[in-house]
Amino acid sequence: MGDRQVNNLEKGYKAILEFVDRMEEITQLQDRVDITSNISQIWRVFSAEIQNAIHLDGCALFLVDETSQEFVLKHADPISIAESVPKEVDLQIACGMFAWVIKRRKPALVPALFLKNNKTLIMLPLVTIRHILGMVVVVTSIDESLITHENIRVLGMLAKQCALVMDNFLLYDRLRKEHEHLQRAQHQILQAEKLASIGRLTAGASHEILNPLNILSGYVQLLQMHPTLDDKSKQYLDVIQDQVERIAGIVNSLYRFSRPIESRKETFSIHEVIDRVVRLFGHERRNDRIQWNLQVETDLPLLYGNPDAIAQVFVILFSNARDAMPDGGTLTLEARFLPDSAKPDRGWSGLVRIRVADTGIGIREEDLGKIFDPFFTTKQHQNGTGLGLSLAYGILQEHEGTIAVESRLNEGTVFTITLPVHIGEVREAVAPVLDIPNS
Amino acid sequence: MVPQHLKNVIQRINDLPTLPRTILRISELVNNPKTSAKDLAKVITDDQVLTARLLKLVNSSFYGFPQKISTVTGAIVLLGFDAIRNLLLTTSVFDLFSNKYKANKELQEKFWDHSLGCAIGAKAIGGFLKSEQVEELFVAGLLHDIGKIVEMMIMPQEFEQAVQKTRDEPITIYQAEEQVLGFTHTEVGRLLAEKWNLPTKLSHIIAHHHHPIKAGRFVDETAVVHVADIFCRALGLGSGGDERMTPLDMEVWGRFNFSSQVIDYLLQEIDQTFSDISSVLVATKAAEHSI
Repeated sequence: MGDRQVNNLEKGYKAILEFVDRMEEITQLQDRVDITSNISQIWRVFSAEIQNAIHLDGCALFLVDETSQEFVLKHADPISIAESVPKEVDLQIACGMFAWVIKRRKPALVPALFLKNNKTLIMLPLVTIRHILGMVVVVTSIDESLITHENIRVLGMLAKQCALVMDNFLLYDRLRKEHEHLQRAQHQILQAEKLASIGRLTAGASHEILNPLNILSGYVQLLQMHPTLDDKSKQYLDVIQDQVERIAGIVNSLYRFSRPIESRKETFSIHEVIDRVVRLFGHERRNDRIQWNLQVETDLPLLYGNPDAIAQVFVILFSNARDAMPDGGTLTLEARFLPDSAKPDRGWSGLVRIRVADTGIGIREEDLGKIFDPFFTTKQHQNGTGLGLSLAYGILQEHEGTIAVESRLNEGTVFTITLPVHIGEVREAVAPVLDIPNS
Repeated sequence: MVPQHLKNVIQRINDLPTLPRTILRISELVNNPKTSAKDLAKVITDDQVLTARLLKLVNSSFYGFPQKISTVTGAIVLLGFDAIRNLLLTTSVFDLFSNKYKANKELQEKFWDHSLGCAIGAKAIGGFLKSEQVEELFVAGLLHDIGKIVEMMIMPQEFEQAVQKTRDEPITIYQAEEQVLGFTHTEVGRLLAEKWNLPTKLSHIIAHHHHPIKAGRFVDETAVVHVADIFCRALGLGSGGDERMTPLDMEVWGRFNFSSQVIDYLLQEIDQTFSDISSVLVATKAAEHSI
């Protein structure tokens, strides 16, 4: 064997060892990628690896946006290329190069069109069997004809790994979101079921209680008319009568809550309803310390439903706001028409959104999930029945509306109601002038 | 170790033309990881015929490149080293076998049609499976029956006998070869592939395309060619020597699990592409002759 041959063999042997080393390095990627938890972290690992593999000016990650289906720049290393590379990519997309590389699913070297000084682009498509994720664009000053087979193969392998890892991450992320969504939906169904079963139960029970209560009340009244009654007995009977009436009140509202709301529906002005309830409240003495802040759009559209039921919702919300502000505060009521949230498929042209905000004590976070549950109350000592918000919830459901709450302890609570506006309901031409109490 | 019954064939394969030195040199370069496009381009541009052909082919609709490629270096960097090697290899193989042997002219043409159909089929199936190696699969499909061409050339009478046997008896060409020649085109094909130093993957596919499970780490690629072969026979594209269906390997078929809609789609795709490409090829050939 000649010296030259031995020399060649040694060279080849060395080259193989080098390549094996490279491969080993790449497989160690796995460990570093394993601990990543988002696309940026994954990119950081691969970007470092790409910079190891070839001498470059920079590299950029483009991902396909799910909604627009366009290539969007996600990361650029170094950040200084973030401006020029998208311009380059736009040109490459325009001339069909991008699509060609993606379709061929293999790395390609492309002369730069926008970047000056004979830069070369190495396009590494990020594709898996299932998805086209995007493209890594490497910018280098090495002349395209001097980049070796090995360079391209290593970069190709990196891109493949990167695509797999990102695809797995995206799939996992989507699964996680769907799972959360399902859990929320399940929770809502449970809530609705609970409300429904309590409703059936109480409808029957409250009727049974009201009957004997009426008899009780009748006899108390008879007793009160008795001429030989001493003062003390009269006083006791008054207390009994008061408490009987209270029981009747509680049972009545229970009954109303459980019974399907009367389906007497009509076209009504939400303006008038708000006006009526605000006036009613303004007249009550115990509401004197409330500052009213009314921001009601003047030309809200007419709504379809039961105005008395909607009025009741406001009574409930205002009462709660008042109770939350024992030392006074500001009660803000804001009503707006949102045509953008229209759902024409359901016959809606938009929503009326009403927000009722107080500056009161707020609701504890652990209670927020329970406030729409029947019998849940924080006002045991103030004769709360825990039925108000359940009732409001039921009324809004009946009207295809929603109610939501946000609260900060010691800062205040905001209830947001939406009610659908049915297509064809016109906007009120002239708004009734609101009589704002104590303002 | 070469089996005894093939010794005779080997002797005669040695008489077959070898691949041009340039192609062998290119293969060597592509196998070396330190090769750059510049090194490869230098070897190619030394051969003017090869250069002209390369540029014509890379600009054909097969690669569907959006712009015109005007330099060899441009072609190499854009398509990659393997693609260039495969492309030049294919054209050289075509060169070696066309026009030089006049025997069995009609059969040869039908045979090339079958090979082209199988190449298109392998590419279509690969594309459907989102494989990254559709171009390699195309070459593999084109060369999978290369052993038959060798048989036609070095033992035309015996091969004709085998073909006749498939007409008289209910057997496939594969079985007839075994009976008449004592070996099959897959073994001969493999010998040629090794003599020509074709990539290992190609020689495995050629050797095992009737029994892909035996192809070791290339079983997936071989399976694609196996199924493409059968699709082409079903479509009646060209002829593999006999007019019979080769048995479908059920284990391989099970791996794909194609639904009937997918099969319909693939068959249609293959049929359509075949008629498109073969008309283009005829035109290209005519043009080349007129140069």
